[in-house]
Amino acid sequence: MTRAKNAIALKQSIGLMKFRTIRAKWAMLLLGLALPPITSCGSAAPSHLGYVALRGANGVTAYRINNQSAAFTRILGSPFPTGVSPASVCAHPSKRFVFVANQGENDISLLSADSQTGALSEVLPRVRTGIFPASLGMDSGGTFLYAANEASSNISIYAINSGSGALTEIAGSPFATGTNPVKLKVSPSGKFLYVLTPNLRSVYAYAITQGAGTLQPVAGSPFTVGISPSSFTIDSAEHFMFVTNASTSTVSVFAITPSGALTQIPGSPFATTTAATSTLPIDVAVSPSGGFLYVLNSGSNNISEFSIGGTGALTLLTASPVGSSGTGPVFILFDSNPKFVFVGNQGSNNISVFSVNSDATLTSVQTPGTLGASPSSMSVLP
Amino acid sequence: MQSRTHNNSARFIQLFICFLALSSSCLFAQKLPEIDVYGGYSHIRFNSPSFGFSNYSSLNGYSASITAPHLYEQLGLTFNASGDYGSKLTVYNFLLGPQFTFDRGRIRFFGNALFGKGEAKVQIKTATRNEIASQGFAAAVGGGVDINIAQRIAVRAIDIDYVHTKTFGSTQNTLRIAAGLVYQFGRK
Repeated sequence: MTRAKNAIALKQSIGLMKFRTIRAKWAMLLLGLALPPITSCGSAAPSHLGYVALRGANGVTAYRINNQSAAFTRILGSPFPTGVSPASVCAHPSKRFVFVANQGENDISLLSADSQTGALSEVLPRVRTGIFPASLGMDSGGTFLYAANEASSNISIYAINSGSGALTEIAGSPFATGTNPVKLKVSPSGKFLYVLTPNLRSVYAYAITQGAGTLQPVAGSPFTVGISPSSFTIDSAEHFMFVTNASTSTVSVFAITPSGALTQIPGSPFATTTAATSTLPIDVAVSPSGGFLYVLNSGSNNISEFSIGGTGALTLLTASPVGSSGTGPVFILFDSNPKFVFVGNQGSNNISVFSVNSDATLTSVQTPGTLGASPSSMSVLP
Repeated sequence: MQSRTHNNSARFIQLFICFLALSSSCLFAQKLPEIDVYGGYSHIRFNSPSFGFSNYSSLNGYSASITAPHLYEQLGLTFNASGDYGSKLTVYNFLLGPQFTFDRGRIRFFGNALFGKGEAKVQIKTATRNEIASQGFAAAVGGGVDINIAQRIAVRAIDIDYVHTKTFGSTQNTLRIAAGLVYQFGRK
């Protein structure tokens, strides 16, 4: 009897131990479930910032762009308010400030960037420009800001305070230029400023006085370009200028002399297509290596791809043109990672992202969500 | 946005009252089950790059819970509320769910799976607002260890949770580590 009771007690004891073991395992399992996130909470993927001016929304949308994939993450609070009808955006290399030309009210907004959230907040008051500022440009050091005023036909120049971003118009500004300038660009070396005046079919060239920011016309300026020029760009070595001619669907190529003067190369202008499939070129971007040129065609929603010869001569790539995923494209630019190209579309209100293949052709890889308003300009930081 | 926050708060208060009602009904029954009240420090490393921040955000704050650990054997119910704060970001979580408890002498191991709502608030100032907030689904899986230092008082040595939230249209997977004190009403 006692042995039987002992056997039952032993069985119960073994059962209890098993039950406790099972409970302990469950507890350990649940605890273990909490541990995997320790390995998943690494540091943030390397990224850089991009800013898109939205003319219709009177604001700027900020993005954090993944360095490797070019995936766009919209910064919370975007779009950030600016003045009326922002036409051009220019980010300061310090990554602390963004400048926006407000075409609708003839001034420039200074936006301060929060290093943690990426959010922008405007620092008032806005700085006056000439009439109808259309384009902003900055030297690579972020010392001076230039604004092309389309209606008053002059260039406003501002010294940038490196600490606060505040703009101070320099003595002698605004400087007169050709009639109705629509685009300006500081050359990569910072020595020259080029201004496009389509109505005059001209590019005005200026030497920039280093340290002062003032302009001196380059001998021979203005230089005649093609019919209905719409945009231009300069290669990083400052050997060539490429000007798109909208009505003739061509690209004019100019050699840049050491003094900043322009000389059209033999064979220029070059057609953007061999089968009339690429029309109304509206903007142009050159690869950072200087070996390839990409012309954005607004009439055909595609991009013509060229290789650039040693003399500046253009040769269409076999795969050219590549279709754009958006409609109504208005600007094209390289990402700070030269593996990607961005196109702003005013028809579909978005940015198209292209990857640059090893043969320099482009492939459409993604289209981040709609901007909600038409983009007019984009600036990308390293 | 503000009214949505109030609605959510009201919902969680209702949920919490239900939890108290359930627990108190057991309390007033014959068995008088144990109720643990916990409060302590919480730290999370929040996946703020998911909505545009430059880096992960290290946030510090509180975690508090009320638990009926033995509603049925080792199975119980717990309600947890936490708030974690940083220079530009605040995160709240209100979670409810089952808990499994395993007692071994003075030491209590527990694991739980909780579900509820999370809220993230980002301080972005403009002329018209001071912050932006977003609420969304939240879930947490984790566990911890309590060590009794007196008859009804325990130190929660560690409480680790994997917290999953959906705010600002993106997903955040976060590790939460907490520690504090537990008062165990009705523990024998």
